[in-house]
Amino acid sequence: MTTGSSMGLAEASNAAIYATMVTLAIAMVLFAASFASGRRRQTSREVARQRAFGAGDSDGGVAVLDRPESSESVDPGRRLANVAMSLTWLATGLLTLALVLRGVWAGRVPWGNMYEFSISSAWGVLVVFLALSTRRDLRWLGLFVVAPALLTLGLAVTVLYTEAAQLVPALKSYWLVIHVSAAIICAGAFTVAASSAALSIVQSRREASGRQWMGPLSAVPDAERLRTFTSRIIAFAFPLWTFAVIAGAIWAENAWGRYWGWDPKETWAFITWVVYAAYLHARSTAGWRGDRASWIAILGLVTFLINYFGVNIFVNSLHSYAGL
Amino acid sequence: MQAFTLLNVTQAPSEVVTRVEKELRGRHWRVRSSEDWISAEKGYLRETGNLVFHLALVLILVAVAIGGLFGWRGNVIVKEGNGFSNTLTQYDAWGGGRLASADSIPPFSFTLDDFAVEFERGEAQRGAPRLFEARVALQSEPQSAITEEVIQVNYPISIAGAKVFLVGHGYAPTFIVRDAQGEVVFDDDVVFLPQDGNFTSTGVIKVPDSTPQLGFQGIFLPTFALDDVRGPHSIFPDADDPSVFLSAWEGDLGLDSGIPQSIYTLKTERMEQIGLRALVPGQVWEFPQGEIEFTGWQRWSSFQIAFDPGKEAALIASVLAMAGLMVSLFVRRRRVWVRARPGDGGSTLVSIAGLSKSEAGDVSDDVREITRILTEEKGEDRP
Repeated sequence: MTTGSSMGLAEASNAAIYATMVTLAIAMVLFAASFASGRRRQTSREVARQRAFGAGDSDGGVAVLDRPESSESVDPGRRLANVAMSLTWLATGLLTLALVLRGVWAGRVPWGNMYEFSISSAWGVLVVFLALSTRRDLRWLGLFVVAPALLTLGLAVTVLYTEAAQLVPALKSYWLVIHVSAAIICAGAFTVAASSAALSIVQSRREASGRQWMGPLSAVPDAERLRTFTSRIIAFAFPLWTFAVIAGAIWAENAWGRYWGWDPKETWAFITWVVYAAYLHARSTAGWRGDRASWIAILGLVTFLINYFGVNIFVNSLHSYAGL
Repeated sequence: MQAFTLLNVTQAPSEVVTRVEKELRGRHWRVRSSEDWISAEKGYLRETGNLVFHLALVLILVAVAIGGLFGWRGNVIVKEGNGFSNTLTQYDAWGGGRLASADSIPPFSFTLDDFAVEFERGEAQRGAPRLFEARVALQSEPQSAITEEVIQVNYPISIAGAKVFLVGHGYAPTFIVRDAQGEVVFDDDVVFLPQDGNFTSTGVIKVPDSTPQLGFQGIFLPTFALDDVRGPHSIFPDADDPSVFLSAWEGDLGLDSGIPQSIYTLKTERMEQIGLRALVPGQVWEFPQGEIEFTGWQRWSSFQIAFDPGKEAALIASVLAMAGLMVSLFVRRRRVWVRARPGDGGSTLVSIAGLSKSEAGDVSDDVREITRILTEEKGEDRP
């Protein structure tokens, strides 16, 4: 089924993946350099306090304890981060191209095996990050998003690489598009959430130790803001994950004659769902709102990854489509 | 999240309160007020959504219970050319809930005309399945007309509430066994069960009508290969180079003992082995007690037939749960307070504050909106 011109498409897709990885690698180094040069900036509370007390000024502005637009002078670290952001946009464009080429080559959505799921998930991580970055300053998070995306791509091209082929009959359904696209966006959102949850734990330890005035983390928002950011992402991703599970159940009813059968994949999807439900409950429970909730957010990603790598590769499941 | 602002206006405090209260009520806020203050809350729908979500989860459990109590599911293997009619006795395996009744088993029948299967022959993912398609002649009721239907993976057919799914397939090699006198004592295709992805399949032939009784354990290899480690095995799932390995036994099959036994295993305790032989289609193996001819093969497919009266309820409950969940996560519950006090020079000092009651809510837009209400049209006066 692979003709000369379609082989060209395949090579172009692979080339685009490598170009993505090179671009992301540079972006990661720049994000890391920017992170390491992190400098003190005002905490949101300080900004808010200043603005609040100046609130009676001429424009009758509203003081808000969120999203401070701190007027910072351009420093080298931020300039590096700006370049890294641009490179991340470029890399995401290249990765989109790679996925489209792969899909055109195979004549189907590029979600037929684990290699394709993996590059799509890396794409999901980057897209969720970039989408959020259009609404707020996320340069501090860049390193912790680009690194897992790059790692996923690296795993995909080295360990999981599979020549594109047709779909197995079990995957020939429009539910593939609905179910898998939701899962891919969730992969992105859960990863970004776990990165920011991990940062919030480190940040809150640092705040507790009183050494807040220096070090790379001074460029990162304070722990409370990180926690709020995490919970907003999960509040978005949790309904989407619920949807992915329901769509999967509808598909399972169509393919296997039952909507829920405690297949390993289904069981782990449910575990992930329960963990994130626990996270949302923890966020509204006194004593659990802080680091404990953040740990639950990290645990959520761990269960998601077990479901993805563990069940696909090591467990004999109805979902074993790894193509390895 | 909190937000607040201070504002100087020319209206009297009571005027400020009346105006803001009217606007807020028009926007469906719940308002409490007195002469010079207002407190208002909005977003109770969040709690409603929360309640709907959790109730819907309970509903899902109820739907699962209904399916478990009244539903049933059966599996059957049908060889090409053979038929199946939907009664309990025809199933290889059948499981029903405690309250499942025989009335819910629709009386349809079908014949498997043809089972088409294709495998990847290219280098990438060689041997991966590409097409399974069962063509059946279906009679949905005993007296109704016969229709041609195609059952595929992901595309089951529905008959009177029950669904017929294609779940598997395999090979049924055909054999003719003759006894020492040359009489045909067995002539049938035998379902062999696949053991690996390349359909190395095992099965058993039982010949109770010969004397002594004969039994054969067989391995069917759609594409034959032999190596030292794995012995005879198949290297491709399609029947490119089929052969069968047989181990022949004579003695007592144990069928008369009254103890039910599997059609896929041979009880060899009271039998003696005659020998081993590999055959390709058309070959005959002669031995003192008779002979066996491997005449060819055909395919079988296995179907799951399921009836779950709870699945629609489960779907509705899931959609409800989704809706409730989204309302409970995206509707922001928040409060605002407005206080109007006489300020300098006959003006009124208005303080407006907002507090989000929900996680990660932003209330600044509401505070800004109230500010706009008070400064719009009516002349404003800044300090």
